[in-house]
Amino acid sequence: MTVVCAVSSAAGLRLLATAARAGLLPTGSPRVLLTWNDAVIPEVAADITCAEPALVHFDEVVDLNSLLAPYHPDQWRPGDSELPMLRRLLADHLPAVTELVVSNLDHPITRTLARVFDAASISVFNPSLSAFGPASYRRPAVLVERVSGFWHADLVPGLRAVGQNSRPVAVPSPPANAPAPVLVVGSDFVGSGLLTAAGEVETHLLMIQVASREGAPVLFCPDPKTPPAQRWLIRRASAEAGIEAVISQDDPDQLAATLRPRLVVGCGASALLRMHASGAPAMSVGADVLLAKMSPFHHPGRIALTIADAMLRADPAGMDLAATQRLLEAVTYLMRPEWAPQLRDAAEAAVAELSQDDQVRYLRRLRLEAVGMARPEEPPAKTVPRVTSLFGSRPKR
Amino acid sequence: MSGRVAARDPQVSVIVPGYNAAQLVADTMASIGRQLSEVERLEVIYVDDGSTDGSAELVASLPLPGVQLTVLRNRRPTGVSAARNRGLAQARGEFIAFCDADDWFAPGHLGTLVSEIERLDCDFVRTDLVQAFGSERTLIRAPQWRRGQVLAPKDSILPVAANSMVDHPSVSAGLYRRALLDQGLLRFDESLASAEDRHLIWRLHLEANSYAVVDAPGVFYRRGLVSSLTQVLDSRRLGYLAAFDDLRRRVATQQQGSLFAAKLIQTVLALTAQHLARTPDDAALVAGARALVRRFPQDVVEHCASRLDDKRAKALALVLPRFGTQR
Repeated sequence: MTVVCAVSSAAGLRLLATAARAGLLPTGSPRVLLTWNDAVIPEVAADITCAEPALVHFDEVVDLNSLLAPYHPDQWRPGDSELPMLRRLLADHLPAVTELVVSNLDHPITRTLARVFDAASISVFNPSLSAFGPASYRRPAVLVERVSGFWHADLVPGLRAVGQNSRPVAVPSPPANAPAPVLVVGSDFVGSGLLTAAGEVETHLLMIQVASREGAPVLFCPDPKTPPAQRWLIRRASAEAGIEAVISQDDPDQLAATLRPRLVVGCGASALLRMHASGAPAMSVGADVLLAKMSPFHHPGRIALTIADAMLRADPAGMDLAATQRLLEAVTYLMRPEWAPQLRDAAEAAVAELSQDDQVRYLRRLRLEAVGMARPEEPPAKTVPRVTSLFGSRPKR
Repeated sequence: MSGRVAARDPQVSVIVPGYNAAQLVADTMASIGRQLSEVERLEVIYVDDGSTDGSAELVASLPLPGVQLTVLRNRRPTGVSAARNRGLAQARGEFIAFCDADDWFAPGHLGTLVSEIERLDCDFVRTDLVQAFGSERTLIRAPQWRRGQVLAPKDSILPVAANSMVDHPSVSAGLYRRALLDQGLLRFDESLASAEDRHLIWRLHLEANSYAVVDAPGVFYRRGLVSSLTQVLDSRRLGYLAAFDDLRRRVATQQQGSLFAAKLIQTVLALTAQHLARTPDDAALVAGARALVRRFPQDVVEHCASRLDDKRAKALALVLPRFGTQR
């Protein structure tokens, strides 16, 4: 009897540790932490087990990258005929797996693990904002059936997640030190297929410029998956703009806890809301621009940007919790109307309540028309130009 | 510099040539910082070959704690061979490794190669190579199934008709004892516009005493870069002809000269067919290949030609002489 906890990020690991302390993880069976790093070059990326105090909650750590080397974890697509053998070979480390604990049900490796350990029930502990919205990819009924619980980080206390097959429950946040320097939290827009490398540099430069207006030193904390070259290009772009941003290799949450920043700036990073939830003043920068250009509407990155922008935008002032909740319901429904029919009434009410500006900011007229929610009397919303030059071609599978 | 622990002689010198590599070289250097447990025994010589993108400044500014880093700069591009040679001239390590500015090593890779070359006590070790295109990777096995045992380099040149170790030309996939440098065997021929790596690996197999193929964490190279020489159709495309002409002279005096010549011809024909598949009307290439083929012993050429399949024979019709026995 083994519980396998599979994570690919320090945030995911930290959420599992919090869950373990709160007694939410299964007890009584050995717990094995299965980690993988899916940065483009994992060989030079930060080790996700750097959040090592979390490791005390596990009996053994198995690193998937080492098992698959020299291949990349994203390439791991075993055929059906290999699964029984893999199960037997992995049994040395992972005997009789009865429970699979994962961060994201839609990640290809999660799906592979679910195929390998096909008799395990599944719990989801999602550390990111995406947990609040719809699934990223269709979830087969046989998979959904196995899910015994959905949990998410309490990134926005009070905000309820919608649009998942069963309602996720927030894992209570551990008490954190309330919040000096301005901290800029980066995102891996290239890895998530949202922007080209040049677009990513530009978006981060904008965040750093806004941060520098505070008149305090700027500490830039890139996403752990952002490669060193890209970090350097972002630093060079800010130097050319006359801003001396210090790049930190440290984990953003640890930094926020020890530095007590006067402001945290980010663009849809889950860490931004995590820090906000623990009391740091936070501001979302650039998410509106990304939202305006993001295509398709059901792009998996939309929920994080929408929540961060709605709550933490500077101008106009951010929405309160209740308004954000209603917006979330509207966006979730419009992203996947066929998967979330129960949200239709709430979505319709929410759309009606949104100002014209916010409709343009968060919704798409074509989507509204497709589900019969467009307001005919209003003049047509400004068409948003499709600018593709800075954008990656399609969301990562 | 003087504040450091007395600079011990490095154990390994890594030669990294780079030309306008700012986008990639930081990843490369980060990987090099993770190679030896005694990191201060690693010397990195970065030779910036006339870059205009600030990559030399970038390399000099990278945090590589403990590593003995030297940055050399060429004011104008001199080519990869000259750049590597310039780095080699400064190398103090007991062992030499090569890493291009867009390659990277898995953590501990060089450490594994060092313990293997010391355990086996041979002149050089070679290893597998991984091509990376984004997160899609392809493992290219070193074409030698005997692993972890000392072999005679000359015995790994053949067979003619299948891949052998001379067809595994990336110098990054290996570690070389500095004695080879002193013998002149690690010097890249600067007169060659390309194929300098094939030329060097061939010379090692003809003249070094011992080598081994070993398993190691991995060396990776990026495929699909625009600057990659294999995609550039300029005057350098003919470089392999000069490289193989020089090797032709070198094998002529060898005991197995005919077989080695056959291997060379086989490779020249394969490379030429590859080029012609891309640029069928390249008259200079056809003329160059034709002239080179004529300088080999004609009985060997005829033997090689007779083994070509119809498709390749047709593609190379203008390159090969007409033999009486041929259709």
